[in-house]
Amino acid sequence: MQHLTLEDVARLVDEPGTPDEAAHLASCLICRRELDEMREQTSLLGSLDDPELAPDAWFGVEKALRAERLIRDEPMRPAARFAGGWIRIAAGIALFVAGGAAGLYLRGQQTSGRLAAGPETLRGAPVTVTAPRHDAGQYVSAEPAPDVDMGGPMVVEPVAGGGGVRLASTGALATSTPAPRARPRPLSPEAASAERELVNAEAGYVAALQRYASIADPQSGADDATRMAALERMIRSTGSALESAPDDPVINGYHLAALRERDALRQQMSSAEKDWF
Amino acid sequence: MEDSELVTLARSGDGGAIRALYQRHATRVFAVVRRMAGDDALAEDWAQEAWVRVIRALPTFRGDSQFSTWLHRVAINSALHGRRSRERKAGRETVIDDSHACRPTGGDPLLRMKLERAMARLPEGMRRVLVLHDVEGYTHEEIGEMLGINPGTCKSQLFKARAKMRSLLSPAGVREEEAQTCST
Repeated sequence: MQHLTLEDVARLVDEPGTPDEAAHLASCLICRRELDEMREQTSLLGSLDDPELAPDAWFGVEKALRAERLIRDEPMRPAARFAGGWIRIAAGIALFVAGGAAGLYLRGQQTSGRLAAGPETLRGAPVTVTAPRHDAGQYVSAEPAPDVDMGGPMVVEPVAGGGGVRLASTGALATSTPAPRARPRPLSPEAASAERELVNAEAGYVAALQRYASIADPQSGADDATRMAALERMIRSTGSALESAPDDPVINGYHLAALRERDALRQQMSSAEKDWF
Repeated sequence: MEDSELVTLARSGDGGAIRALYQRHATRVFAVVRRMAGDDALAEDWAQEAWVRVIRALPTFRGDSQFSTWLHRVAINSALHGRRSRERKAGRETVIDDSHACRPTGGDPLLRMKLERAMARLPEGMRRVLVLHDVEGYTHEEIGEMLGINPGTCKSQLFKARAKMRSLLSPAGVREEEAQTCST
């Protein structure tokens, strides 16, 4: 008796056989068993598990995508990348710009003239920006928001020895007494809302400075590379804010101060490399 | 987030969305190219190429089909393209190294491993058709379109591939494989 070939059996998995093949299968145990096993093999192939993918495979894909500029830099999507602190800095800055604009509108020329003088003359403004740490002694105070307990005026001070800056909360270091806020007439609900936004922005802004100061403080144990990365991100954040408000003196001052701080850190790191021996 | 939303973001180069799509579908993409390639190193190259092609072609994806379906087809095309490139470079069909066993995670591990190894030892034309039909579930018409062959040729290759698998899985085939392994 002539058995069915393996190819014929393979075909019978999907298709009905000829009458001759059917008759043969009815009488041949060997070919029936072969057909059953072929069916099982086909069924198993359709239920194979996926092989495991190397866990680091993404990095190769990402590199290839970046080489073709098909993927945008992660810093452009900070919410996904930096879900922690730095998004709050950007948000604080954005809020500050919006709140400041609302405040300027509502308070008129008096406040506007004060802010237009530049970041180094911001004493008395709700939140102010530090001078470069090389200008030791030029402290700038920040008045705490009325409903935010900051424990006193916030001061960003340079640390002797070039180790970074330290954020202090003390009235003793303030070089001027903040002017009391004039409120000539009761605020409308819209103005009160804007005021609240500004206060929240102030709190966010100060919190951002605090976070940076905690990294920049030599006592924090953060190394220069960490500080450099923090500064780079801060510069990107302020740079993004400047795209929306290019003439804003506060953001400009903040941006420039961060740039100066970064340059100084670069110099410090460079000289440290030269003196490695 | 749905695939369609991620695709919309990924079109503009959103790194987070691209990575999310990758994490969702990378295993399937790798599985199909791994079986068509026959070894891990080649499969990783082809899978990477597949993802670059997919992201590059996202602006042309109209959403008529599921993203996963479209992605799967692109991955297969990448594998076929990779194979052709390799053949052009080698000037002949390359003998596939079957030393890389895959790692199945369920069922009878030994039997599945034998199946994977036997598949990797098939001649390339047979393996492509077997993978696309019996593993991935494409029809002969679809496979014919992908490979540029008619459905009748596809069927013939499939039946030969199944028969060859049976030979490779038989005790004689296993002994032959063991002998080859020992001699290398």
